[in-house]
This record gives sequence, C-alpha cells and structure tokens, in this order.
Amino acid sequence: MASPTDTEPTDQERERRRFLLLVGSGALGAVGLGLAAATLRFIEPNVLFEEDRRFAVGRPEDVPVGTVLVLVRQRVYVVREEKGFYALSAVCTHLGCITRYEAEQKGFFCPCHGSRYALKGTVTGGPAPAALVRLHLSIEREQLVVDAGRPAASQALLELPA
Amino acid sequence: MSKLLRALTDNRAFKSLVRHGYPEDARTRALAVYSNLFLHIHPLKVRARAIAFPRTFYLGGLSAACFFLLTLTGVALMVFYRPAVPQAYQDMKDLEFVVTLGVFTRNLHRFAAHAMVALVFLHLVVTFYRGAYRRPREFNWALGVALFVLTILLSYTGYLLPWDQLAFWAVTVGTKMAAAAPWVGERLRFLLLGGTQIGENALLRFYVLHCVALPLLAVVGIAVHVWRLRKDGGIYLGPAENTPLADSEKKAVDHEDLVSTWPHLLARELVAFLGITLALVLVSIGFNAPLEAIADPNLTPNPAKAPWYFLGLQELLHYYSPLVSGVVLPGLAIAALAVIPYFDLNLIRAPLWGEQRRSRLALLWGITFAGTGWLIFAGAHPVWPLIVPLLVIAIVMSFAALPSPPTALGRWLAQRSLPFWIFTWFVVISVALTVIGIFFRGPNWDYVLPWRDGVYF
Ligand code: HEM
Ligand code: FES
Repeated sequence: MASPTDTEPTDQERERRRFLLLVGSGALGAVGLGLAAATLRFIEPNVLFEEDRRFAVGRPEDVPVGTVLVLVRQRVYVVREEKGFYALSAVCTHLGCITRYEAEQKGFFCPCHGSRYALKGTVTGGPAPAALVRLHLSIEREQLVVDAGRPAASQALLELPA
Repeated sequence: MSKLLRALTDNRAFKSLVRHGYPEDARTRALAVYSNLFLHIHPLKVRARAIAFPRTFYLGGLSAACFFLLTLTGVALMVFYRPAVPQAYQDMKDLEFVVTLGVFTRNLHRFAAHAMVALVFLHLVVTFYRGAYRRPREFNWALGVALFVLTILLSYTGYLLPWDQLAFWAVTVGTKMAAAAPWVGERLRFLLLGGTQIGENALLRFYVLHCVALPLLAVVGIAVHVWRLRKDGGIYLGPAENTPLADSEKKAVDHEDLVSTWPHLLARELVAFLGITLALVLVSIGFNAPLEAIADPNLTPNPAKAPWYFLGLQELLHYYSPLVSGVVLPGLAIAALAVIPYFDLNLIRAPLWGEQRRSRLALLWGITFAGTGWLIFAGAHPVWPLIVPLLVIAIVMSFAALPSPPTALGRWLAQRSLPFWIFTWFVVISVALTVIGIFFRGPNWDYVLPWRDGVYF
C-alpha cells in the first residue's frame, strides 16, 4: 500500500471515489438495516411464561339462574341465565382496565374512562369501542371450564336449560 | 489565602492536570475553557446580552441540571433495586423504611423527573416565543422536539419501576394506547412488554430502557444540542441579528459586549445548578413521592390516572378512540412542532393581514367553523377544551386584522405571525386538557370540583 500523501486527486479519481463512497455507504446501510432487523427479532420473545388461562369454575347445576360469578383472580365473569351460561372477559375493550360488576345496576362498569356495559357485555356508555369479549366455555368431567385465552363468538352461549 | 491557593495549584501534580494553572487573567481564562474536554462545548467568549437571565430563564440549562441530578440519584437507587416481581415493590418499601436516606433519594429522583418534564416544556415554549427556532437554528429546534419526547419517555418508563398500583395501571393504559397505532401497534406493544401481559418481562424491559438505552440517547442528544447552540451562533438575540451590517459596523457590534466564558457564563451556570438543586432538595424533604399498594392486575383503582403530563391525552381519550387521541393527534402535534421552522410560513415582518385581508379572514373563519364542527360532532362529546381556545383565538386574530388597530396591544397582535397563533393554540389546549385531567376529573372520569371534592391525583 502506498504511503498516504495529500496530493490533489484528478477528476477521474474523484469520480471513482464518489462511486466507491456511494457503493460503500450503500453496503454499510444494508448491514445497518440487517442489524436492526436482527435486533428486533432478538428482542421478540419466542417462549412466554404466561399463566395458563383455562380453569374450572365448578359444577353447572350448583349455579342458580340469574347468578353473576365474579372471578376476580381470572378477570372473568360467568353469567347464568335461563337458557345457559356465557363467560365474559372483565378486561375493558377500551384500554384494558378491569371492569367491576355492579349488582344494583345490573351491569359492568370501567373505572378508567367510564365505559359501561350491560350484563350481556354490550356497551351502554362511554368510550369502549366493542362489547366485552365472550370467552370459550365447555363442560369437562361435569365441570364448567372457561378458557380465558380463547375468545368465542359475540353471542356464544353454552346451552344448558335450567 | 493567595498563598494557600498558590500552594495547591502551583505544583507539578496540579499542573499535570491543568497545564495553565488556576485561571486568573484573560489568557488563562481562555485556556481553561479551550483545553478542557467538558468546558469546550462553550465558546471562549459569550455575549453579555445572551447570558442575561431574562432572555432564556436558563430553562435549557435547568433541564440539563435536572438530568444530571437524575443520573446521580438514579445510579444510587439502582444499588437497592431489583427489576423483578414482587422484589421491585419490596425494594421500594425497603428504601422507604430501612435504607438510610432512602426516602430522600427516591423523592429527589421523582421530583427532579417531574421538574425536568415541566422545565423542558417551558424551554420549548420560551424558545418558540423568542423566535429562536428559525434559521439557522431549525435543526436544533427539531432535535429539541426529539429531546422533549425522549424526556417524556424517560419519565414514563421510570413510572412502572415501583410496581405499585399507580405504576401498573398507568402503564396498562399507556401501552394499550400504543397498540392502537395502525399496522405496527400490536407488535410494538408485544415487543415493549416482552409478552401480552404486563408482568416481569415488561418490568425488565422498562428497566433497561429507563436505566440504559434512553439515558444514553439523551446524553448524546443533549451534547449535540448544546454544541449546535454554539455552532448556530449562540443564543438568539432578536431579529437584528439577521440584518446585514456594513463591515465597519460589524466589528464594533461584534466586540461590543463579549465577555469571557470563565467566569461569567460558568458562574451563572453554577448558580442556576445550585438553585434548582436546593429547590428540589427542599421539596424532597417536605414531601414524599407516592407509593400505593403493590400492583394488582385484578383490581383497577378508580380513577386510574396516568402520570400528570399524560393526563391531557387521557382527557382526550374521553372524546376520541385510542387511535385518534393516543396516536394520531399527539403524532400530528409532535410532527407539526418539529417542522415549524422548515416552512417559511409568514415569518416575522411579513404582515399576516394587509392586502389580502378579506380573503384571509374568510379562510380563517372557514377553517374555524369547519374545525368547530368537527370538534363538536366527531367525538363522543363536544371537545370544549379545544373548541373554546379555537374560537377565542380566531376572534382575537380578527380584531388584530382591523385596518388600524386602536391600541398598542392591538398593533402588537397585528404583527404576530401565523406560527405564533398556531403555537399559542397548541399551548393553550395542552395546558387546558392537562389541568382538566389533573384537577377536574375524579372517579369514573366524571367531572369533580377540586375545592369541593378534592383532587384525584
Ligand atoms: C432534554 C432537554 C433539553 C435540554 C437539556 C436542552 C438544553 C439547552 C440549553 C442548555 C440551551 C442553552 C440556552 C438555555 O439554557 O436555555 C438550549 C438552547 C436551545 N434549545 Fe434546548 N434543551 C432541551 C430541549 C429542547 C426543546 C424541547 C427544544 C424545542 C423544541 C429546544 C430548542 C432549543 C433551541 C432552538 C435553543 C437555542 C436557543 C437560542 O438560540 O436562543 N431544546 N437548550
Ligand atoms: S379502559 Fe375502560 S374505559 Fe378506558
């Protein structure tokens, strides 16, 4: 390699250097983008140690018609009506606060921005964009089982006449 | 005294550190700034007019002082803090009850953080009204907007760390807001939380952001910001700065009020730093940073309020969907702030009114009515905190457009530029929304009167 000097480059050399500069910075830029993508992928967890959201509530025949079970720890409501059962997530569909059951007003109520829901989960007031999410319900070994990780259709009902 | 000072500074060890000895004349004072890595971010000489307190109120410097205090107290707190559930909360309790000066250190850190958010916002406002955002300082202004966002992020990531109810629910609401962003929102929330729930992963990620990633960005950003201040010609001195001068005049003006940085600027910086430190120390002795019950994902407190600087946004959430109030409106506001100086929108000395007075007034009221209509009907309720300032400003602007404004105030208003009015509206609505969110909202986000019902904060 020639020892460094400070002679003025010719026009042709300038042109060549500019070309190399563009190619080189393009390559460096591509490496940068690749690193950024790899970093993004790196910080995305592959395995989540989050709790299993399936749990048993009890035997369905023990729950009288008209009951609203408030399962605080699981953040779920289970409602027994004439025709059967449905389960609602207690998480407000607005920004994720936990709603409360208000027995006198027969509804659920969110303390964060004041959303209100009817017993069926439909919105009756406030900024909530959608009804409370209905959750998957099933009977397993005579037990009523809620899968809080699995949303169900908006009218889902586990039919079980009283 | 001078003998003692000489003994301390006139020896080989001191001179190996500071070659020119203790600065006492013009030459060594210049050298003191010139040869020191940290001080040479300043020029050797500054204008006396530029460093006068009423010009900038030293708000940028005071923000930097808060950042310095936050770094010191933050490192101290790290010694006792584990970002894990439930240890994080236990460590907070330890700081409160068993660590000597633990409460004080935590208080100082918390209050300096609040102060920094407020000071940076005030710095932004004052810089705007002084007109210092214009060319050649437009890049520094845009960088400043980035620093403002960074300051808020620093404060917000710190908010989760105590792992109490306040922290947990503020972050629940905040990250759901981020999730409302189109296309990337859900993924962003997933990456930020390291999962789908706010748990230990989220705590660790917020911790890394708060203690390492964001402070590093802030240090670099602040250093470039202060360096650019110097390269852009120092503190802005008013429109006369941009008027070309004859060469003979130039020399005279240039040297008129130059004073050396050591001691004039450095002494002022020291006093400002000591002043804000003293104030924050007194507040930290007198008041305690809040710590509520340990985070309970099953029980939302009522009302669940975000930190105060987000209560304006939370108030907006009452009217619009999370997408509009949490992403679109703040995004637009930040972008608009950053690009103001890049549009030569009716800057100083081009009267806003004048020849096209009629057509411009028609346009103004067209926009005002359209905007008011949108504000009344697009949200869940009419957004009074935005509508009232809009109407008031449009009315004041129309008075300023009268052919010959009757009073001095009228003449002053007539000379204001378009960015002035837009920015003023922005400041008024941010303050209005925030004040309503802090003082006038209680349980269920219903209106309360703070003097009757107390402050829910
Ligand atoms: C971390 C936050 C910030 C720090 C530590 C900081 C620091 C500083 C300092 C030390 C100065 C010298 C003048 C003074 O002390 O007031 C300054 C000037 C300036 N700052 Fe900031 N600043 C911050 C945020 C901002 C923001 C949010 C803006 C506006 C968007 C901004 C725009 C400017 C401009 C344009 C100047 C030049 C002022 C002039 O020429 O008069 N800075 N800043
Ligand atoms: S989170 Fe329930 S109303 Fe906003």
